[in-house]
Amino acid sequence: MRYIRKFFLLLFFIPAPVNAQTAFNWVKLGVNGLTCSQCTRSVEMKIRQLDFVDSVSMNLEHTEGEVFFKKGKKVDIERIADAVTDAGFSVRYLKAGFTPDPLAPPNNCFSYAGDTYCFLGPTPLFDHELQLQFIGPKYLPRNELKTWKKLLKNKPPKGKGKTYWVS
Amino acid sequence: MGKHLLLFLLCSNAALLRAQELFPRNEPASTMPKGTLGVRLLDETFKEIHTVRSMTGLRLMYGITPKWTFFVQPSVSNHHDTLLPKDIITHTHVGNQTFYYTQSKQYGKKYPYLFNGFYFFSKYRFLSFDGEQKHLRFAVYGEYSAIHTAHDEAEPDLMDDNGGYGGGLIATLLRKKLAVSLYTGFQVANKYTELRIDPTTSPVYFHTELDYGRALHYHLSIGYLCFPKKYENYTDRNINLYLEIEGRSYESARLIQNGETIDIQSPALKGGTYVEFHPGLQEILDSNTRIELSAGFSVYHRSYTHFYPLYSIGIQRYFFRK
Repeated sequence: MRYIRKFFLLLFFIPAPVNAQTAFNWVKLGVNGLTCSQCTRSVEMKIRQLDFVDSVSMNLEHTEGEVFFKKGKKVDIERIADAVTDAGFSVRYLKAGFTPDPLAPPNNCFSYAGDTYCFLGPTPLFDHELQLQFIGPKYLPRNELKTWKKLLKNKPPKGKGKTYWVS
Repeated sequence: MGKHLLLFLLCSNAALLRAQELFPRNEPASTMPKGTLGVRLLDETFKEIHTVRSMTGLRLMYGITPKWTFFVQPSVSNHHDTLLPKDIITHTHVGNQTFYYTQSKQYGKKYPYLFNGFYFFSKYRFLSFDGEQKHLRFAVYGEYSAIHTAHDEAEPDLMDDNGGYGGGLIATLLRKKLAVSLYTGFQVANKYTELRIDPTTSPVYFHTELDYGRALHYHLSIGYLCFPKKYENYTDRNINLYLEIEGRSYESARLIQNGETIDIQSPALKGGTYVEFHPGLQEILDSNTRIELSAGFSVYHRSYTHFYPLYSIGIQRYFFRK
């Protein structure tokens, strides 16, 4: 019984296997701290410098952006948030469209391209494109981060790559 | 002057008025994007009677980190001669005339264009409160000047007249309709020394040491984004208006000639306080190239280092790594 319990506990944190169709399709992000088009352009130029980024489309009026990726390149979500910071601004929100492996069982955590993504809150079904909202100091303003404070106290499983909290 | 006021009133009535903090004369607390190079060509010109005086600088800026910006600025100007005026004790600049008490009256004495040296500036943004289309940011800055000119006024100016150092604090508030920035700090200028050999005078050798006053400055900059009323793309014509109010207080200079402290009679070498205002207009092309013009006027006393109006022109562009 003890071994069965351990097995299921382990299963809970073992990242699910990846199928070839799984991919990040887009990232939508809001940028805080700017109003001018020169500042928005700086953000766009910093994101464009990332080797896995195919195109960036910024909404100058609402200081939001949409990022699309090159096929076959590993998408590094943290580097997108860092690019915003490098431009001198901060992320208001960061959401990503992700196609999961439909055969993989719904799991608290899943792995993609060496990185681990763990859900804070309920785990969605993996039968459609997921809209992942990234949670963490790099992805949310301080005041919004407070609402996730309790859940963020949980330690994510240790993996080889980066570990992200998503919802 | 009237045109500037009219533009301000027009902008103030714009329903979708938004802020702009890319001030033509003063640095905001915001810093440059990391790893980005900026180039700025700037010029300050004023007319001293019939003589046009100007300072031209080439500023090379770099974003070392997202919070730390550095720039170096070599400059040339025709503000001074190669040596101090012979009548340094009494020379003065009054109103729209330049008097030399010991000589016949001269108007706007011609000086050659000289290379001033290098001015270094660095700022670090240490606190940011960012929100949607708003921020409140604080930065500290330090400045150092490797400049040696025969500057003949008490008021120091590290950017193009004096060697020395300075530092201060910048606070910038950007909130949809308003960008307000406070730029305050101090400047301590190095002493200027020269040895003049004049066989027609007695003594033949004049060793002069000019110890400039320390200065405090307190600048308030306000920026308005006039056009476009609604951004659609990066090529939208972007026109911004600014009003920069600049105040300075500085101590008297001390003059020592051949080891003897000399009584200063010239008001240009005495301490003072003045306030100027600089309305400015800026156009940003393709959301990158800044072209700006401002004109400075005195509102309370005046500076002895320049005449009015003081025209400032700047062209600036960022170069992003591909």
